[in-house]
Amino acid sequence: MDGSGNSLASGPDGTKRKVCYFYDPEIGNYYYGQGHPMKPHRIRMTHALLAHYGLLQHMQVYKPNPARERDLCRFHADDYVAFLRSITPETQQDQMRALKRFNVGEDCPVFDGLYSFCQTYAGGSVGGAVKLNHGHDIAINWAGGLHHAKKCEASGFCYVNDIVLAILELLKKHERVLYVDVDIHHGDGVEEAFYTTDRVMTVSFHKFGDYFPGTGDIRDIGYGKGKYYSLNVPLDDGIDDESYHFLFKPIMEKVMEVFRPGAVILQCGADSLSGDRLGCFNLSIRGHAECVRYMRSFNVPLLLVGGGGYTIRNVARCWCYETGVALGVEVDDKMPVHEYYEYFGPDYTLHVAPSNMENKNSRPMLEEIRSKLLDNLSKLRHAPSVQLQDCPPDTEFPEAGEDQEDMDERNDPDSDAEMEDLKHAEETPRKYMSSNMQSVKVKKENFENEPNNQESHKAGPEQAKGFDPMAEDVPPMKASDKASMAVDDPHKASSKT
Amino acid sequence: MAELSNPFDLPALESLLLPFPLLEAELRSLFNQIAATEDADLSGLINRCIRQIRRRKARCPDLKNKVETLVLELLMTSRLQAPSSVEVDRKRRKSDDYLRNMLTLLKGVATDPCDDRAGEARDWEGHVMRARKWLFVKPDESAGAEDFPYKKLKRHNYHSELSQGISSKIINIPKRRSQRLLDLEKFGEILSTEPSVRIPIGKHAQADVPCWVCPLERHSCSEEDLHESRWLGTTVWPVKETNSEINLDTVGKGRLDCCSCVSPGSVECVKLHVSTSRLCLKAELGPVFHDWCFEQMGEVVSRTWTRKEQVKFDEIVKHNSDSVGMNFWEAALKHFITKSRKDISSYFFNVYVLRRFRVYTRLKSEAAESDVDDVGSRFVKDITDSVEQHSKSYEKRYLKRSS
Repeated sequence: MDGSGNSLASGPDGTKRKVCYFYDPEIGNYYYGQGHPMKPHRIRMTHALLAHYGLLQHMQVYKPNPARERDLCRFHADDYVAFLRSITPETQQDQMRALKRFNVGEDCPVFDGLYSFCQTYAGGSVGGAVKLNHGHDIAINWAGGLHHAKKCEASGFCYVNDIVLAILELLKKHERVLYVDVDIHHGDGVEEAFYTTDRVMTVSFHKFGDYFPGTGDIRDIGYGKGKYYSLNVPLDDGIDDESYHFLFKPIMEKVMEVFRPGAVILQCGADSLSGDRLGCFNLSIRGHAECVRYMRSFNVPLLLVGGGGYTIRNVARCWCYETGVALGVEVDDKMPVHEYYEYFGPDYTLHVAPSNMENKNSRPMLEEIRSKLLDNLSKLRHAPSVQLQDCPPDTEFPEAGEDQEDMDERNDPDSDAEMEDLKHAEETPRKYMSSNMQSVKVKKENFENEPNNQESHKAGPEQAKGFDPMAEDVPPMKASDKASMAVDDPHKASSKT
Repeated sequence: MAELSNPFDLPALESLLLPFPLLEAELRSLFNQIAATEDADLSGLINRCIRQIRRRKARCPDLKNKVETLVLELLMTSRLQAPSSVEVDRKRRKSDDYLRNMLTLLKGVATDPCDDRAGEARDWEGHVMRARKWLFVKPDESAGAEDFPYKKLKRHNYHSELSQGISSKIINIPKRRSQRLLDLEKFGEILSTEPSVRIPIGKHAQADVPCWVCPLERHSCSEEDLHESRWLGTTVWPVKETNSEINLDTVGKGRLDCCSCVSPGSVECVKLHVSTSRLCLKAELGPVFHDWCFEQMGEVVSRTWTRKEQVKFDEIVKHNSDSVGMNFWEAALKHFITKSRKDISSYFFNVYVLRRFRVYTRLKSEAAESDVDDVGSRFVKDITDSVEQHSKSYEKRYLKRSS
């Protein structure tokens, strides 16, 4: 036994799990700036909803300890972390070169409390990983999941990569860790961090083609020892639940079968939901949460983190529902009245129907993607066994001596170096293969809630009646105010300039 | 080189692109390159520029289309308007003439393939060849006309075939592009053959992944254990260690639809239920209610603001919306000298945005479902995301504008 254990302490019944949840009450007050789509307030909205649904009360809830500078430096470059620590909105003018170098200032603005924000969300994710290492079944940190951050630079609203830090923590206890990313954007920061190792497999489902961050090509499969340990599932606009799971389930089943991770991190970016402000997918909350349900069913320790999500009331809906899924509780559609109830009008329901937008993912295309990815996965069949006792060779640079020149250059899949690596990758398993190398079929639950069985949710009956503007605490708005706030008309908006 | 400062449609660009100064520089250099080249196929340049933009800039749904449209538009304008160099202009006009002639002919053939005006047959081919030459070959390259590659191609005499009486065959030619090909073309976006953005490899990019050592073999390291325990955070809930089973009867339950209020669903009704619901939660959670800062959640935050301050805040937001290039945030900070940034952000999300949603909902406006502080945002201009309007609004999404 490797000690990592693929079945959970809570037993195999598939419903009950020991779930812990990380929340810092300060998180909602961090503010990226006027008009910035990233709003940490959504974490607070989720928290309020969870409390009123009675879900919080059934978890162990922790306030994370902030990650320290040296903790962040386990992945990030020292100078980058020192920069994040020192920069403030007042001093940024004096550090223009550093801002540019670390890609801070535009998408990733300097705001009040930036560093403590990073410490908080990173602390939650690493805390979650430690909990899993200590035998918890599921840990949740909705403030985490900032998957774009790179070793030496910020990117796509992300400064510190809490996922990479959490994976490094999990790697202390588990030989192999799986990362799954259902954010609409490619999980480039995590992929890059583990691109050359076979101890971490990254799988990202994302919109590809003229879309941020531009990486995530199906042909990016990893490099060196990490070849075939990066999986990219490129998708097009308007994907619905059925198309999504046509890929998600078979691919994840195969990944679990051949990679056999000791722990899984699932990044639950909610910008892949229908109606997201920056997204273009058409997933329902049930479809999105089906990813959680499916990954949970493998009985492997699971860390759920947040990520993108820019229509904030849908983010709160989604992560609340997914917390319920983690607990094995089906959450009512009719929301309890709570602090942020008014955000959810006029229906005040948890689920919203997806739109009728066109699904640009044709079946032949999905089939081609699926078969290509399953084919790549079949090349992993002979992953090193869990019985492996030997320490594998240095994971940094398999061919360090020979490829000195190529070290810091971008890799070229057609280069000789790549061929060498391929050879290496093929040899390794043979060298370390143990006698009982049979791939273990991962135990899985049956699924009752297929996404295509969903009923669509209609508008509730409790439409607002008897609105009395005079009852407001603030003076009633005039119709003209309302018009200026109605933002669907670009002409209106631009005519204001 | 053509003068390109004029054709810039600055307002359009501003609304299109977010961090303007950098992008402007990039686009200017792109246009300069376009102006400098004789090559009419600009897709390479455009793609390169987009890749640059995309690497650094944020998530903009259809950046490529926008930029491409803009570039083409500017190109047309610059071709029409920019006769700064006589030599370049003469060449341009010449190539445009060839193109125009060829297109006219093509149009004629397309509308009536059988109309073989014999006199034009030879001429037609000549037009095409000239146009191709101007489009794809730089003047110096084509100096050795003998080596001009297209000359060596076998000529397919379309017009003579027509005159040999096989016109019916040509008319009945099926659609040239099958659905399969169209699908394949769509794959182009996702499964394209052009090289993708490369993943950097090296110490500067990857995490340090240590070798796997089985925990059983690992020497227990008390320092590491200590280090680990600090990650566990502070237990907030449950207050006492209890082994309570999840009670599936109460957990996850939503609201009941019965309500004895005079006008159910009204502002007062909701306010009443919110405060009752908070009282219940407070009773259930005890001191943890404060640990989780529930007293700083929702509309109760307005209690720390005087009515006068609230009115002023509304005014400031209204008059300083991002869409008119103003920053309400700074204005609010300046005005409320006793309030911190945190106070203002808290009031904004807990009270201001909430009230706006309340009003929208009650007015049953189609545009109600948006995040209110998104109005005129530099990231997305049109953010109506009501379910009904989603597909429409999706088409209309804008990129960020500079501030």
